Amino acid sequence: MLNRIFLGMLTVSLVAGLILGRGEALTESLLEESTGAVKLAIEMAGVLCLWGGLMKAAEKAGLAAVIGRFFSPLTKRLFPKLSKKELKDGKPAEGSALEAITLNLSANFLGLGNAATPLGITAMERMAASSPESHCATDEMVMFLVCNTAAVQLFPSTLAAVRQAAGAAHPLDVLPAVWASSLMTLAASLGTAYIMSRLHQRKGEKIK
Amino acid sequence: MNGLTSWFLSIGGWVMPVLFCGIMLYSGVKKVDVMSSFLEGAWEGLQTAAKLIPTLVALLCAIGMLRSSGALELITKLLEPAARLLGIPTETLPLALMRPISGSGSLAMLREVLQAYGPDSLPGRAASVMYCCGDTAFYIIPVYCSTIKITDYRYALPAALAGCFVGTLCSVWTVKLFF
Repeated sequence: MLNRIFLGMLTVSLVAGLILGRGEALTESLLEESTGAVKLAIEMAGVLCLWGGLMKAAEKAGLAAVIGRFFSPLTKRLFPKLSKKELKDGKPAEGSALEAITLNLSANFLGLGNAATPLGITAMERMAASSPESHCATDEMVMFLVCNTAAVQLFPSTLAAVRQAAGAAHPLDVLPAVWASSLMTLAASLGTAYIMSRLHQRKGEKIK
Repeated sequence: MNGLTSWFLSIGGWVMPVLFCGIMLYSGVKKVDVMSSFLEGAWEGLQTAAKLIPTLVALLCAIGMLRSSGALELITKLLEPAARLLGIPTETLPLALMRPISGSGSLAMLREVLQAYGPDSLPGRAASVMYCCGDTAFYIIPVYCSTIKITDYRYALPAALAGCFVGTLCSVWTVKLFF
């Protein structure tokens, strides 16, 4: 799948580049982005260390479990299989995937984008630990990915700063619209994911 | 500048330091060896970062070429009639297409729309809402899956893009409704 996405992007950019005559721009972006990717990885290394370390401390102190318990009504519905396995007395076990998931979702909600990524990668790693050889995302992994691509943010601080810089009379007057629309985005993504998981299940049953 | 915005921006600026120090102090009170747990977690984070590099190089090159090739401009032109039909201001269409692909790209496009049409115009407001609806699916999904070597995302991308599409429509509708 990644293969097809990658090749699709390359084809589209090559065709568009040929039509618009942008050979030089393409060369430049290839050179720039490849070095940029390593720079980004080094920057991310710092953030990954920071939040990875913080998460370890929060887990050992039992703080992650407290947050996990708070979110458990929500996570039980989104991740039923994981919850059955990892919830003990209503709290996620220490070092469990569910713990990383709740921390990632709270970081997203608070608008800490750079914390959400490392926590999300950790959550995916822990989810994969139960089926290490598979190259196929599980239903719950997809659910988690979709929660991240449709992140609902309580404080869209970047937006506020950009609107203020552009001279908006009241930079935050769009906030109700932002909350309403991003909730709809999340609902639509989760709904589609749910329907598609059911369809996949049925297809699987037929093959059997 | 009005008071609410500055209050809001300063809260945004406090979230991270308060969380960081708060969690560390709480763990210290709970008699956790804070420093060694931090180092243990940080080491794992560093290994993850190294594993990410190849994916990031491939992905960012593809995204960069997509942006500089002008493909989005061509697709924008193709989609303009459909956007008009759905009531989406065509000025915001490039942003709507960029949103699932690149975070820095969509921020640049939001700035452009705000500058060209004003932050309090319909396209300006709709673009502002769109910017917050949905994140970069083409980046997040491969990056989250890369360290565990998952290559089949199954229906993750279609579901994310369906959300993006609904988010774009809702951005326009809510702005029209609320203003």
